[in-house]
This record gives sequence, C-alpha cells and structure tokens, in this order.
Amino acid sequence: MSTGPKNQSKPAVVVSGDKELSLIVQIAGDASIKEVAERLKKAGHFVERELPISGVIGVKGAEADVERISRMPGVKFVKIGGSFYAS
Amino acid sequence: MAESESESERAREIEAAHEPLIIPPQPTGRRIITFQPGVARTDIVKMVGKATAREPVTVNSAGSMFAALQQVGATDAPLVLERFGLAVVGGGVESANNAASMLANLDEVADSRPEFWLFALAGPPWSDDAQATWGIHAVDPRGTALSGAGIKLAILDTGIDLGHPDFIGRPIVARSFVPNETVNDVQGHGTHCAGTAASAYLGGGNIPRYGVARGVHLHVGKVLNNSGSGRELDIIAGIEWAIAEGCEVISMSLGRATHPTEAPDPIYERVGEAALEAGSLVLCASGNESDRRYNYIAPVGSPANAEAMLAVAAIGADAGVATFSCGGVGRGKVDVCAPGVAVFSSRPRPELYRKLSGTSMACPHAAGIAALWAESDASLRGRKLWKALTNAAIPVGGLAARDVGAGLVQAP
Repeated sequence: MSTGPKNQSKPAVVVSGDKELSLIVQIAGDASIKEVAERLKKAGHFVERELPISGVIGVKGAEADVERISRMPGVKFVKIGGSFYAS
Repeated sequence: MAESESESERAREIEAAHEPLIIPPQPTGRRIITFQPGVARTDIVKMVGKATAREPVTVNSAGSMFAALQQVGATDAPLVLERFGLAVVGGGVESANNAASMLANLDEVADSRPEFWLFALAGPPWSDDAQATWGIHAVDPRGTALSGAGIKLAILDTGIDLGHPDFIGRPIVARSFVPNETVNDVQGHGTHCAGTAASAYLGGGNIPRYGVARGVHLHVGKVLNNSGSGRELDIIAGIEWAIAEGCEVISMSLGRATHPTEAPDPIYERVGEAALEAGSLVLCASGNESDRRYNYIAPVGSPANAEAMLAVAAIGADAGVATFSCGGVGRGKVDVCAPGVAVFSSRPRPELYRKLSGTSMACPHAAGIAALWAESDASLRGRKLWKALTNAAIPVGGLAARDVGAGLVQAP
C-alpha cells in the first residue's frame, strides 16, 4: 500500500510493495560527506541518512535521478538500495 | 603483488589442510583364500593342509564358529569356512604369503588377498547433551576461562526479546534502525542469534549451554523488520552504529542471493574496510541457497561475498557441510565455518527455546568465538582478529576450502 508523501516539498517516496526504496550513494574517498549531502539537498533530494564511516549517503525517492546523481562531484557510485533477509 | 602471492600461498595451505584424510587398509598378516564355487570341502581342507603343512580348523555351522575361532586364536592354525568356500591362512606374514602363493596357483582357487582389520564406523563427532549443545562442543569455549568480558559484540538482526531469561537484567545496548518498529524481536531470528553468541546460561538441568561468549557487552541493532527483511541503507546504518559504539565484533546473519558472476558490492567492500580500520570485525552468514542433495552449490551471498566481510558457512553435527550452505563457487569465498544445523538457542517469550538451522546460526557461533579471541589479546582487533580466528580454525574431515574456508572456528 502506498503511503505517499505528506510533505509535497520533498520528492515523492517510491514504494515497492511495503518497502520504501532509497538510493545508496557512495562518496569518493577524498570527498566530504557533508558537502556531497548539501549538494544533493540543493538539487532537491531528500537526504535520509549520512553515514560518514561507511562513506554512504541515503537518498529517498530519487530513483529516476540515478544517472544525474552518479555524475555529481564527490560521488563515486550510486545504486538503488535493495533488501536483505534473515539467513 | 607480494600480498597476492601471500594470499595464494595461504590458499594453497588451506587446500592442503583440507586434503581428504585417507587411512590405508591395515593388514592383519593373514591371507584370505577364496575357492571356486563347487569345490568340495574335503578338497579345500586337503589343499589348505598341504599348503600350510598344518591341519586346518574347519567351521561347518554357526554353532562351531566360536570354538573354531578360539582354537585358531590359540594355535594360529589355518581356518576353513566350509559354507563360504573360504580359508584363512596365518602363521606369520611370510608363512601366510608362501601358503597363499601355493594355493593361488591352483585352478580351484579364485582369489587370494590379505585380510584387513575392520573398524567400527565413527558416530557423529558431536551431539547435544545435558551440559552443552553440539555447537558448543564443536567450537569448544568451555575449555577456557575467557567469556568475552570487556568486548562489545553487536548482533544486527531482527532485534531481541529483552525480557528473555537470557538477557533480562544485562546491560544490553539496543537500537532499532527499522522505521516504526521498536527493538523488540517479533520474528525471533535475532533473539536466537543473540542467544548463540552471548547467552549467559551455563547449562545444567534440562537445558544445555548454548551461548558461546557469555561475558560480552551485547549490542543489538534491529536492522531487519518484524518480517525478517531489511533495507540495505538501514543495515549499513546499523553497521555504522556498531562501529561508532566501538564493537570489536559485529555479527550479521543476513543477506541476499548472488549470481556466480556477480562482483562483490563496492559499498560493502568499503563498509567492511572501514570497520576493519576502526578495529571492528564484521562476520556475515554465507547464505542458504545451496541444495547439496542435488550437488547444487550456490555462491556466497551479499554482503558476505565482499572481501572485507568474514563469510561464515555452516556445518552439521556430523561434521559435514550443511546442505544449504553457500560455497565459494562465484566471486565470493567462505572464510570459516561454524555449527549451523539444528542449533538450539533462545527464542522470544513465551516459547523461550527452539532449534533452527542456517548459516545464520553459524555466524553468531563464529562471532562469539571471535569475541573470546579479542578478549584473549587486546591487540587482536580488525584484521589481526580476522587472522587469529582463521589461523586457529581447524580442518573438518575432508571438507574443501570452497565450503568451509580455513575450517571450524575454535576458542583460544
């Protein structure tokens, strides 16, 4: 069931089944996670998590912008986050 | 390059250590002569008597067997088993060989070969008993005074039942990374894994000991929801939290299947590296997608297939690799193995206990053992802890490094 965004100023949250998708953005080794996160916010994206030890930023609802984000300065790799399961 | 050669050398050592142990047949010194079908028993007795220059002891019924064997044992006389057309000649290796050579030249003789010792087949090497589960016996933490005291061990899973007798009153740090869900374990998987790694219960009565490292400072990150699945981003956030908390050992019994040609995810390579650099060792279940009953071995799943994550495969109490356990057939590899079949551990109330199988159950066994190693030497952190754990692992039967890596983890 789609929950839909309540705050229309934020990008829409894409829902697949019951799972909200997020982009996982890996920053380049020499980049500042704060700067890349600011860049993403300025581009209108909703930064869900900043994980400095892992060098990862989570961005909600930006699946359509994977290509554009992957070309941003300070970004090394982008993928659509999937799910893991208890094994 | 040097590192690569060193790794190759280590891989060869591991392979060599896992060469199947083949014990050659042990001859008794006697020989068994098989006569052609239809040769008369009187002729057999005559031929054997002539070849050995001794009067054979004959057995013509089951009832006479015991007395005959006693006589042969006392005198080393040749034995003729009339019903089967067999003779056994002894009197020392040389005499037996000479007699056998003479007999082998006769048309009435079909075969001549050494007699070998036979042995009772060994039973399963480990089993649950009143003191401990088979898994505890296999990884052997009871022979050490170490308990993981002073070591922070994180279980990143479906949460925990903090009211379970194993955990109530303990200083557990718990946090949920799953939106809108508390750390309480509804699914049960996380509580089971936490029990295996860190239950303080020492056994006795009707319940065996099943916790490896009872003294660790348990950290529980709920990264899988109440249905047992979780978003990658939340899981990475959980790893990051455990690293920031200073957890020396992080156990992740989770993942997804991979394709054999699939390269490890660079995200987890970096996360694992960051953990190792921070002094945290991340252990991951290798995955359950194999079906070895049909010779299907699935590749190690993600994130266990990342080089910087220590992949744990599962074995059973029979010292065989678990039928479901993923192996190093793709880009990933198995690093160690641990008990993962019919593992008894804690379960959220009111059930309290249950047996489960999976590489999920193997991973917290290995994580608990890693915590004991970390306690044994304060310099064993990150990569050094990885090496200590794998170097101490022991080969399991003839199991290949593809399936069990360096072998079964062992307590210091």
